[in-house]
Amino acid sequence: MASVTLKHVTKTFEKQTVLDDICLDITEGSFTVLVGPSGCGKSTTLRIIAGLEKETDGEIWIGGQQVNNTAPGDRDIAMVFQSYALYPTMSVYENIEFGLKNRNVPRAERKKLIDEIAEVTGLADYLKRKPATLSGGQRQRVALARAMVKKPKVFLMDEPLSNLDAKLRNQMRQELIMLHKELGTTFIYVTHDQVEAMSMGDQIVLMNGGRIQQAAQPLVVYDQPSNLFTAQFMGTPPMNMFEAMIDASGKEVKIGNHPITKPLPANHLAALHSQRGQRIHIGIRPEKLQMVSHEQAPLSLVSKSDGFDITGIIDTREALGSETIYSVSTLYGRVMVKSYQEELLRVGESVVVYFPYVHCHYFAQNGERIARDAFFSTRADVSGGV
Amino acid sequence: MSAVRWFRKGAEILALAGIALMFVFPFLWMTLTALKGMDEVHVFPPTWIPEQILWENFAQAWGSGPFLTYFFNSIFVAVAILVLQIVTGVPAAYAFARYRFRGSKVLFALTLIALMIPPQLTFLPVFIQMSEWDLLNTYLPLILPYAASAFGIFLLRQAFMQVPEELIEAARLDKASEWQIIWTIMLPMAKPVLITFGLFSFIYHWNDYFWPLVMTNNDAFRTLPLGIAMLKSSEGSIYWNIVMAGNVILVLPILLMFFMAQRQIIRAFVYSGVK
Amino acid sequence: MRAAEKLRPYLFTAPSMLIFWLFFLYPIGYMIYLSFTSWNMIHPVKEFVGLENYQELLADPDFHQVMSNTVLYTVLSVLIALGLALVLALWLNRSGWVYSMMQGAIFSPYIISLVSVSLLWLWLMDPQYGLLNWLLGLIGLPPSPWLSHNDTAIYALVLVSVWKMVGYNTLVCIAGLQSIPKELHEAAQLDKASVWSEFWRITLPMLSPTLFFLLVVNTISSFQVFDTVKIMTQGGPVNSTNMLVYYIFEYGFEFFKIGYASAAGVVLFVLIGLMTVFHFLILSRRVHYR
Repeated sequence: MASVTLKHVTKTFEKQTVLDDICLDITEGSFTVLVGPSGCGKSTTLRIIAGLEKETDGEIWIGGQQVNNTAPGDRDIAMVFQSYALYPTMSVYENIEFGLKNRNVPRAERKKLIDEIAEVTGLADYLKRKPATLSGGQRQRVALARAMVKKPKVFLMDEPLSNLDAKLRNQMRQELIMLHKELGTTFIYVTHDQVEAMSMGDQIVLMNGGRIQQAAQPLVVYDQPSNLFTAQFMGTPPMNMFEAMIDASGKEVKIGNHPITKPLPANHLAALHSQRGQRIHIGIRPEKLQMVSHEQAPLSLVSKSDGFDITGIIDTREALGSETIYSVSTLYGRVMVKSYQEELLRVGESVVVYFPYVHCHYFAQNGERIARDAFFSTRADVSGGV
Repeated sequence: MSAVRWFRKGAEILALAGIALMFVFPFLWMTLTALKGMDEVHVFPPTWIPEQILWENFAQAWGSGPFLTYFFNSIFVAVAILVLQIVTGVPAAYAFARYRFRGSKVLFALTLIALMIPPQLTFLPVFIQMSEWDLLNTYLPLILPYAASAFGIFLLRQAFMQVPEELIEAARLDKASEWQIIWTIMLPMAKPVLITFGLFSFIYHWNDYFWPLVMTNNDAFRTLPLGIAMLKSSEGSIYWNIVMAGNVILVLPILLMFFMAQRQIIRAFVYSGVK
Repeated sequence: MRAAEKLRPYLFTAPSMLIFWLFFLYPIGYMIYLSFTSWNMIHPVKEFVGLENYQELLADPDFHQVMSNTVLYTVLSVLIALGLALVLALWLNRSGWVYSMMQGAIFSPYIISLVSVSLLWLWLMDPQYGLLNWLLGLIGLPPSPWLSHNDTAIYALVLVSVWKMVGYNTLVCIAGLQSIPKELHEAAQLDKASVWSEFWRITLPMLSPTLFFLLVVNTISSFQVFDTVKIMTQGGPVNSTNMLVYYIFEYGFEFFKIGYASAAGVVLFVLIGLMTVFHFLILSRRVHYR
């Protein structure tokens, strides 16, 4: 167990900046997920922690020791690769044994450790087999066993589940969470899949363009995205985003050329006060929108909803069973709505979409979040009860 | 319809048999001659099956010179060359496949040049070098110039480049040294290529006549092909049965290898061209 | 630690590079130097004579004959071995044990020592008791002197060369044929191409890189013919089979005219160099298909 700290780590490669001043604290025993689109630098960060790549600048600390000049094999870490990287000419047993041998663990102890780990990972019957004869899931286990047997201070995982089919991936996700609980070791996990990030991590580090966009707990990243990129990276479909204009008085807000139907509440306007006379972005998640057929609109939601609304026509509908995703064309532009209603609306139907104020996010023109008070209230109600 | 097909099939088989005979029959004829008596060799038109099978022709061929020495030298030289080529070639191939370093292009170009310069071009200056270094009456002129193989480096480099990078990184995390990575991870993975190259190198040097001819002037270092070729020129008239008996001794190991590993040997030689 | 890492690739390549330098590159330079000297291998002084060796070489009628022999031998053996190989490859490129046996059979001469090949054919071509003359008699032809007459000797050597090379060429061609995507042939068949036009429009163009490769490799190796000459004819009769490498060998190791032999060696170097450069030029221009 150990914490991992990166201080002002920079990596340039052939005059291109791959990592730009990365500062990161990974607490001891945490399950930290580095997530971001491909090329964002998440894998490079992981590989620099492992020592497989040399940082251009900055400090790397593992468990209170600076390891910049420590060889990968001496950093007391283990890594699980996307392709598993099992040694094809060695049996499962030899694969697991190789690292122990190189660490001069005596033969008898090696055997004991390997038998233990084989039991835990359910590989006991496969120790004599070559990797080529194993299924994808079994290879995954061998890769895990090979990493675990070294009892490392830190586990590094580079998209370890992306080569598995969807069903197996779900299962392995659960197993990894369990494994982390049991071992209590620091896990650092790289993925491009936001669902994996949300479901597994207790800390998410969202990266883009070689910079950290946000590092926080999953729900914080989801509920309080620090900027436009973060807001739109997490969640499917991504957060709806509208360009808006605040007039010079700071009272009236237009989306496109259309003033919103009900003025924003006072505390929102206060938060936006500094932006008056400027363009901002208003964002809202598809599942936070409410939508009813045009005919029913006056009856149902208008009165109880504290928000503004817009009418539109449904363009497409994806009925996924548990939820339904609509694309609605409105005067504000295309709006994605995620609905959990049993009753479906038809394509071509005229609808009213409601925007509850509490779920609106505001971003300044430079993309940074505009903070406002009392945002967390809705989530607090739910999670407080659990 | 089917009669025509049968006829065509039959004609094809016949033609194939004829062609096969053209390539295989000389070997058979060699063996038959090796078993005949000298008076029967000088019979025209020739007889097929020897009237009397004279196994002692082989003993006579073997006894007509220091053939045990030749035989040992052939094996020793071919094996020593192969071992050295692997010892020098594997690290070089690994470096070319896996490291980026200043001057790698120049060194690789040198390898390319070595691949294209035949021994028929270098024998004279190399012989003079060897005599200047006073190495002529040793095994070194036979072995040293072949101690590294550009072809081998090419093949192995190709094989090493196909090993995924992650595998090497996994080994580094497992605390393996570079040396260990090469010999315990990379080399076992390149085994088919290694076998291909081994067969190629051994057969080439077992067969080689030109280089030993130029580099030796002493029976102690001569190899089998030289000894066999001398069977012919030692006397005025040629004892074909003895010469062919010697020839069988030279050819047999290679033909046996070919029977056992036809697929690999063909790949070894054809691959050397197609790349 | 870091310095050791930096040095590592050089350490890894050093042994091989040393060998290549000492026994491939440097000797070429040494040979060029020697070609400007007069030296008999014993005398301590290598006397510088400028271009004298080259002048002598160009004036030597024997050398002219050697060059024309070499070219004739090369052109004939390469063209015949390639043409036959193409036919055999198209014929034998089939699955089934018969065809794989055939491929093995025609390939077997290629892996046999040239010493064996030479002795074997010397015996087959024996004017008095040889099997070949018996065969000629069988089909009603007069016996041939084969290697013992200056009109026929070089053709006899060509025959031996073709016999040895054709199997290799065939198998390389078969490998080339097999690398042509099946879909191309299928598309041609769907387009109702005749067998003939399929060959000219698809098979041959797609095979042309392979054929070109073989052409270059065969030419370079035929230029270096030595073993068969040394064992079967010693360049005779009347110099009719004396070829470049044998000529160099004789002047170097029998007449000890090192400078002169080196000059001939430089000629061989230039010829092989030209072939190689030509090869790379064509390759880089990708004349093959499309």
